[in-house]
Amino acid sequence: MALILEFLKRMTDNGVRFVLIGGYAAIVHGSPIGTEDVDVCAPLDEDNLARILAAVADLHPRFRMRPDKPPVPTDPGALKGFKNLYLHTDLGPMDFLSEVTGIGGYDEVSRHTVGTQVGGYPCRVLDLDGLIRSKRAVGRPKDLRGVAELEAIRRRLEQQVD
Amino acid sequence: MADDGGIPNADDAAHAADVDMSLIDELLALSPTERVLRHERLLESARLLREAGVRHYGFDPRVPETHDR
Repeated sequence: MALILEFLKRMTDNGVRFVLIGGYAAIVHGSPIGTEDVDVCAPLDEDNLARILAAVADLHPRFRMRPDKPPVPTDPGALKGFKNLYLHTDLGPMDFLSEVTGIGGYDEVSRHTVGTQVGGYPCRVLDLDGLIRSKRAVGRPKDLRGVAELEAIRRRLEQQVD
Repeated sequence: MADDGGIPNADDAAHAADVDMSLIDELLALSPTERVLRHERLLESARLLREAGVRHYGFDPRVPETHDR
């Protein structure tokens, strides 16, 4: 099964609260961008952390950003206070962020979403305006390139409505 | 060409930003699921090409420091 579909299945089955952001969100909106990691905004409270850990438990999750890449603890209490989780898993990289640059925390991000289905799995996705705002705020060259593509998509969709 | 009022249309603005509008139009004609699955197929192709590159060079050319290992 494709990475993103397996990811969505696991998150849905475990009742994880999340919003799809980053490259996969851009792809949902029609961007030709390529990405290899799944980025989501998710509250990293104990309840949601427990659901996330259950969803990836059999995927040998490790902390991707640490040089020694230690295994992720199975106790959500051990992750208390974490603002982001950058995981390496058997499926691929998965990033859980409690905030999105240029938008804010999960509650604010939740106000800028569209609901869709991907491969039959319900999924909330950061909307086009939110994606543009966040990529512009991050401001790396690849993000600004993404902004140009997303703005082109927005203009095309506006033309189709007119 | 600009629309009335001097506002650039999507194709003009995309051209100025060097965005491939034909590719975007192709993707917009697909459903969200189709867009994602198309990307996954490309990702699998990229993985196979990278494996071929590693076989050819004997190391990962994206990580030149692995050459001497």
